[in-house]
Amino acid sequence: MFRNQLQRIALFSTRSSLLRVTIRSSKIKVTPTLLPTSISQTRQYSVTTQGIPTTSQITELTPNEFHSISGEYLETLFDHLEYLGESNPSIDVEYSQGVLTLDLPPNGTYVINKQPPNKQIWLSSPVSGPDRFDLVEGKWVSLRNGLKLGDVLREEISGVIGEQVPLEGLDD
Amino acid sequence: MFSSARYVRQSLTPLFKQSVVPTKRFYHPKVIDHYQNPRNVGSLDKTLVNVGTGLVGAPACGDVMRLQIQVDDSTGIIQDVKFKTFGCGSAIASSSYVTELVRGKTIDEAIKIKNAEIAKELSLPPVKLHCSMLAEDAVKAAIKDYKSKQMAA
Repeated sequence: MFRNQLQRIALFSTRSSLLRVTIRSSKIKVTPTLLPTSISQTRQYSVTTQGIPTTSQITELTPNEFHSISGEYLETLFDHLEYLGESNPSIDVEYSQGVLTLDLPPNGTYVINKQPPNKQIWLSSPVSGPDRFDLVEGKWVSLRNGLKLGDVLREEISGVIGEQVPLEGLDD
Repeated sequence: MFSSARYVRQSLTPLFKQSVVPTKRFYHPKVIDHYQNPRNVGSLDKTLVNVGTGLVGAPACGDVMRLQIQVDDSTGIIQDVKFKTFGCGSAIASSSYVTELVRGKTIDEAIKIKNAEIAKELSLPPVKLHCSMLAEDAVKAAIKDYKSKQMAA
């Protein structure tokens, strides 16, 4: 019986190594840089229902540039919120893997996240609702209403704290 | 050796349950109802002049919605509405619910539908508010398509 099990293990390991080989070879076929360019060339998302065309600034942004710029933005925001949390214990903020979650009573829970497929930052606010922001001239701007992400956050957070929160470096 | 391994596994089980169960999130019953019995699924003849088609979302993001409205030309009332959605439970429920909302409304009333109305009805959590916005966009896109067809006709 014991030998039988050993055989099964041996069989399994050869199978998995076979599988790995096929995956590896299929990966090689896919790697030509087709994927990133096709994403950056065609916009696959309706930003505005009014059909406003997206500017070349958005379409020319490479995925790497998007990740570094949006990552830096979210980290700056996280630092500001953590600092605010020190004097306001009711504020709870978490940031991991491009998703920032902010508990801001009495407003509720905010979620601010990177959306890499369309190179946007998405905001879900319990006050102003959902919105999507594109990088236009170095600022994160909603193409639905023209508002800047930094301004929306400044206004709503300042309203809760009861004083003007500067949030330096965020679309100011 | 075997018994000690079993002992470790048994003692770990409650810890595992403790760490997993509270983080589990469930859809609201209304979302599940719309997901399991979606209203007005299907398509309308898009070649008709009084049918408007809205297609929103990004396949790369995982959500695509198509919503079609058939409008009574004389009254501007939306007589029929159909949708097809590829996406998460909340996206399907949002589009299903919005078809119920727009049916019988005039296009001027339907264009005023806000995502908050959908999110509130379905009790969507913060991360799912975007689904309700997509449903709002689908209605607006369908109305826009209907209007541009009317202009051309």
